[in-house]
Amino acid sequence: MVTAALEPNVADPHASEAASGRGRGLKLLRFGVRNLRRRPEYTVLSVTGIALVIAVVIIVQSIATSFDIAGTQAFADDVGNTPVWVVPAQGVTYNPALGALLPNGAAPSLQNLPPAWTVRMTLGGIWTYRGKHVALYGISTPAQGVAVVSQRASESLGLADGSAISIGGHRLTVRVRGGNGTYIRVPAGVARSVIGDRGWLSITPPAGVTGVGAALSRVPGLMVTTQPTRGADGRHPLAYVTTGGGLFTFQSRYSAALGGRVSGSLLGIISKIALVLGFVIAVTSFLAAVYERRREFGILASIGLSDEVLYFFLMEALIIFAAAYLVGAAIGIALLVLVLPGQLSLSSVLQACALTLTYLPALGIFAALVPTHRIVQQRPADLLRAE
Amino acid sequence: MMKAFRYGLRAAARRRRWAVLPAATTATGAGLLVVVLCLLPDIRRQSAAFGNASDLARITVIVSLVVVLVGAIEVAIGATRAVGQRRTEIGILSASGTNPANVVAMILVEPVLSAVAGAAVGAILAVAGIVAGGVSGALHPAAKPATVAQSVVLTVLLAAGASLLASVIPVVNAVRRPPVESLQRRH
Amino acid sequence: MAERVEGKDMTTAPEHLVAAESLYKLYRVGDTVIHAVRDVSLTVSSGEFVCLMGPSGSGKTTLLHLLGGLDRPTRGTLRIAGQETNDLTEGQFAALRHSKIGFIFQSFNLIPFLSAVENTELPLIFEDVSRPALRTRALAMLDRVGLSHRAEHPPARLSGGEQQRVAIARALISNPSLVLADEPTANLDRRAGREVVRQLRGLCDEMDVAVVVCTHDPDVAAQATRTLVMEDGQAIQSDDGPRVGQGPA
Repeated sequence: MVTAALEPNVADPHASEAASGRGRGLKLLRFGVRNLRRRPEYTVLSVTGIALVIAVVIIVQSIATSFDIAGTQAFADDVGNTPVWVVPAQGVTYNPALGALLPNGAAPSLQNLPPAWTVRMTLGGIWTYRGKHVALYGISTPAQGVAVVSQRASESLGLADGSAISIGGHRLTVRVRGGNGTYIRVPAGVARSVIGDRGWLSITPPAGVTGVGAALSRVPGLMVTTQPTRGADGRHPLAYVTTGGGLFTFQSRYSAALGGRVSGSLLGIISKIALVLGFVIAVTSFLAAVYERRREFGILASIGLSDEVLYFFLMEALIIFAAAYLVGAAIGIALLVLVLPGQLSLSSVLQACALTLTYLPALGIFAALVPTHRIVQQRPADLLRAE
Repeated sequence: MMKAFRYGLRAAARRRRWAVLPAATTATGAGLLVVVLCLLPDIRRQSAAFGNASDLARITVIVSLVVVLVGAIEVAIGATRAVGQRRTEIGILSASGTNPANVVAMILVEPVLSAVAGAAVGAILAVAGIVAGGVSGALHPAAKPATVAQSVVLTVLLAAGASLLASVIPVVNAVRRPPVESLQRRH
Repeated sequence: MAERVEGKDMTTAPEHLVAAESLYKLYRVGDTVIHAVRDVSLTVSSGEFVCLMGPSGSGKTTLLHLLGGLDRPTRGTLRIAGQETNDLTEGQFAALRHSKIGFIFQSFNLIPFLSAVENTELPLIFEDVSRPALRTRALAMLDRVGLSHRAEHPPARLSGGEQQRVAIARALISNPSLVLADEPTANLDRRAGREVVRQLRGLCDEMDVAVVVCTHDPDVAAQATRTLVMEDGQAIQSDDGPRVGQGPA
């Protein structure tokens, strides 16, 4: 069994040293592949275990990433280009399933605003139509008698362009416009009768006004910030000043913060635990392999290949991780395509695969490090004594 | 048979250093499974209202199944390795003429105990995390106690079942064959 | 509990502890068939110290395994203490071994996580003996091999010679009629080896236990009451008394 593992062309230790770096790498690669093929149970089991974990990570990560992307667009869709955005004290939440930002409390009423500052209120809440949820926004300058329905909402609720819909007793005509979330925009009065007073304010100072922040800070009870990462404190409404943000617009920074919050939630936790699981599986597997083959390593060390032993093993670990990534990504993507066709954009899946790929080298190296450290510590005589 | 289990416990206690890694694997897998299972009813409920807009529930079920599969495989591998390490012990016990049924019991205790303990630890840590998440509001909404309890029980039972199955087979095979095969070096 | 073995009483000479007739053991390795043991017949009576000698690969270890039921013959018959063994199941043979036979191995084969005294007790833990009584008995046995001061040590903290002596204590604790030893001194230095042989021979004489040993060791061979030389699976010579030095063993 031991002789089977040794290749005739490795018997000469000097040959490998003399070979060029690239040729040596290739030799190592072929040797590693051959070695793994001779131990099919170990190879298959290690690869399968890690691959399944990678599949889970990719699935979960794809979903999270698609929420991220949706979140990025939600701000543009729902809040839009407004110089000052005032959210209620209870803050604003992103609903991933609907792809919509929704206020958590009543739209604030502000005093002491400088005159000539335009204030528009947007109401927002979740409405149920025929058993399906949709985000409903009430805007203060709508087209009368019209319900603007997003593409997604139109598909989900079965509302065709031009059809009629009754909301809160008001009859409206459906207009289907693009948009990425599942929402309907209606006149504020219509919305209020269905979803109440929850909402936020969009404030536009007249052109040429400076000192926006100072003016806002004179409003009693209002907190002011330019940082999208800051949230409302639950007691005071919060005004975001979105202009003058420097290199990155407020919108992109807010979306990034939003995406981070979504990923940090359940899906993010699942994918992180799954990565830890993959790491532990890899370490266990490699340690066991090193232990079982310690006699083989002892023989290699005794014929002068002690450094090579390290490289052999690292190469094998690398091959296993590479194979596991390919298999896992294939399984993950296949499952996603089968179960959630069209729900996820290609870019979110690709992003997820790329993200996972960035974790892998670090994971693989650490996983391989522990057993190789252990093996290198041993004296060949001790290893040879193993059964 | 009680004596066999007592021996098995002694063996498990004395061999605990070997059990650390397999138990860590089991714990992590169990934690993952518990988290996913606790999310499942919530996601089902949410996605029902959203209709076709979200097949999240189905993919979560699939993720749960994959996690179960991975966990079971790793537990089985761990149990098989543990039994493999004790081949000479099996050989000696057979050579001394111990009743095969007793030998099975003596060897089985350790891998099954290690798997169950690992799963329990992982499940409890996961539950602590879920509770902490629910309390701090980071998890929205938190899982119901009944769901949590069910998922913990299910996970621990799965770990027990997988380890039992994976260790019984090699041990029973070993005691059926002449002891010399267990005592000699691997082919 | 151990299965009860229904034995037919022997019809041949009742004093033979072991009666082997025309034993064969064949292995298949890949495409080749290896005749490890070829047509070996052997009897062992109580009080004997039989040495199996021969070069590596001569089949002496395989023969020893067959005598103890650690392996099954491909052909031939084997009677142990009057019990015909060919049709016994593993469980039944185990019961027979349990009451009649003790083993000593070249690589000691002590259980690594048990102390010396726990290893010694091992064969009897399922018997109807109280734990304190069993412990006393095991300690007494260890004392007889001169190791009572090491009773609590695990094998890792015992020297090779000490481990083998624990193995002797373990083999003898169930009061067997026969001890089978496979190259007991091969992993020991000369001094430890001699000590081990001394203990083995001494105790087996005291307890009236027959011994069959495979060995290369001249110190062991010197103790033999009968020597069997094997080559290529066959018994080519059988002498009473120790083998008088003739070429490499």
